[in-house]
Amino acid sequence: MENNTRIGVFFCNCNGKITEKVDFEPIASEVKKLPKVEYVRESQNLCAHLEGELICKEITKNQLNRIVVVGCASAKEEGFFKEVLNKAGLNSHLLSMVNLREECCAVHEKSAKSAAKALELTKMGIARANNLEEVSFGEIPVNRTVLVIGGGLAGLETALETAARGFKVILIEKEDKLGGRLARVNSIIGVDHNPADLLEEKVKAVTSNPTIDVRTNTKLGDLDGNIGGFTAWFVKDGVETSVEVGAIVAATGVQTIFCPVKYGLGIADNVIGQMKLERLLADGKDFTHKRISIVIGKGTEAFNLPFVIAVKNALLLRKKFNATVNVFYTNIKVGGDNWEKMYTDARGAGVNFFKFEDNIEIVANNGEIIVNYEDPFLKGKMPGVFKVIADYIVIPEELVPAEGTDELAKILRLELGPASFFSVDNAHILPEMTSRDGIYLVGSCQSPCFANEVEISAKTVAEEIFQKLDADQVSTELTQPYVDATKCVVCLTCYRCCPHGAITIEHGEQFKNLYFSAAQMNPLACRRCGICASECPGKAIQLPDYTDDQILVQLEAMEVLP
Amino acid sequence: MSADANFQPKIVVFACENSGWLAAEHAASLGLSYPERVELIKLPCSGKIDVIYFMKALEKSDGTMIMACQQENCKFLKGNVRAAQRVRQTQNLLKEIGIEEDRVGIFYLAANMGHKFVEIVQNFYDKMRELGPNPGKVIK
Repeated sequence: MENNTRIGVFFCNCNGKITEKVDFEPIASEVKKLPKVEYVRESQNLCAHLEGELICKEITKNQLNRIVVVGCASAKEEGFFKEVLNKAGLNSHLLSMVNLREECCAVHEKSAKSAAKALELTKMGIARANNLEEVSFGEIPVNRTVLVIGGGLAGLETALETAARGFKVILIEKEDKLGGRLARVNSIIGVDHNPADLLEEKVKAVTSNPTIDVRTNTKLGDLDGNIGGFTAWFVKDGVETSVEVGAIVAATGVQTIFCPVKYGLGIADNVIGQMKLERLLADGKDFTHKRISIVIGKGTEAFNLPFVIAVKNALLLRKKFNATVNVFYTNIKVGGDNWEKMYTDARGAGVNFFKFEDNIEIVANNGEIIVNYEDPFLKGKMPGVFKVIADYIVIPEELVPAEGTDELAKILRLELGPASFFSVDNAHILPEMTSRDGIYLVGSCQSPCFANEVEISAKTVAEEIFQKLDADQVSTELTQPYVDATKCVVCLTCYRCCPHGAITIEHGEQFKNLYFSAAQMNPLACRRCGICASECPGKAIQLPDYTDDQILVQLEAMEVLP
Repeated sequence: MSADANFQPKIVVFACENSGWLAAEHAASLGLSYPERVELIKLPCSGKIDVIYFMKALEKSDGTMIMACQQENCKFLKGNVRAAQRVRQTQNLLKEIGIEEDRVGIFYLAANMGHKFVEIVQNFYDKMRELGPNPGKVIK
């Protein structure tokens, strides 16, 4: 095919948008003189439906095998022309688009200079077309087992959701029983169930499901491979076992650290953290007619979880025990379903909310807690320090990633984001996804989240895995970079710089170099950024559609002006 | 510096398809305009840029630049950082052979910054005008 390149150039008028600035005739006559250009045609609107069939016929009639479209280069049109090429029996990557509309017509006035630019752009496109390469499809066998790390609510939920979609699931938990933090709370926001019942129900569902393999006291020791073909090493009682899995879900969650020192308090019976309050309430401790102060602030602003929990518990204490509840806050964030209502309900039920600005002093004195604070709203009318006495004080705990999150991040080759939680790929477009395909995050390991959010995120991840690994063989376009093994010296530069962990070093006789090994890119995990191709010191790596030849030849086609 | 008032530099812009390329399209949709002798070449990520691309571009033009996504906002985590390293590498080479370092640059923008795109291109164009013709250009 290399010796027999026949290029067809199609000019698109874009309904007059292009010809009002650039004349096609001089360009067309210039282009016809170029070698290998066999066919040139001008059209009013090339992406019209009937034009597609016409292009197909022209391709067959003139035996064209490279197509240059001179017009626009938007992604939508590119898809249309790729389909046309497929219909004509050509590989869809033998298409070169020249963006005359955006790069020339829309931004320049009609002049000799813009005409020269249009010609140059067309020449560049044709030069690129000369160097285009075919890209084939491949069938890649994948393993349809999902590994879920963490046996808390998020892990259980994900295991159930993925199992329901026909996957075999392995659920590992580092503790000796399932449940995580859910076992320790009194009530959950947004879920009507009693947590203990909910947990029992989930654990029962998981343990009775034959496709879910629960392994407690197990940690992930090491990981190799990519989506569809991970090899995971489990560590249990110092013994390593290896398992083949297709996708991995991290659901390791958060841990709380109780630190009363931050509020100037020591450890005492009447100094309670929010998590401890949950447990006390679950155990049935009586708070009837007690005076309770709740403080929120001092660096807890990063997440909205502490605010909502504080309001929830304030309302509960007020309603159930008729306690005197005073909430001291710097800011209160209750943006979410029904949370604002919960806040107004709390105010209505008689919970007092006091705003403070840094100047708060909490003193423990003979079993009583005295809160001295200045009210910024009353500063003008009633200046001075107010004193509020309480029997108990409830302070928020610090929320930090679960123990071992940084180790796990190293094993999974993921980056840690804000506050050392796992970083998601794109918080808005791709939540729950990581920079590596096949590794997903559910629940609080990305940032502290609520129980009702866990359910949604578990479903999202299960759907995503289902979409990626829908059969034992996955058909995909092999547009990942390819390696010239004769140039590869296995220096591991690409392996280290790949942001998606898509590169592995393969060994075998087929790699014709000193080491009989070369870097290989996994087509399912690769996202085609080309960083490896440009980092490679031996220039052994080429990215299809953006090979060095294809880019340099465009520069070569440029005219040099003094 | 330049003596010739009519000098019109040529500039090759390598654009990341997630930012610079889309910003150019955005500029077009806004009806903005920039000098004619500015050519765009699309790359999948700014990290795909190579020293040889810059050097080859400087054989043909007076200045070249890479348009990358905003810092810390690369779709591929560190692509724009790598591109910045590549620019520095090219500048060192240029310094060695006695060509102005300013002829190569990296600029950060987002996909919806049509105005910024035009501003960057125009400023760079003006700077190249001041610098005068590139002595390294290969004129056949």
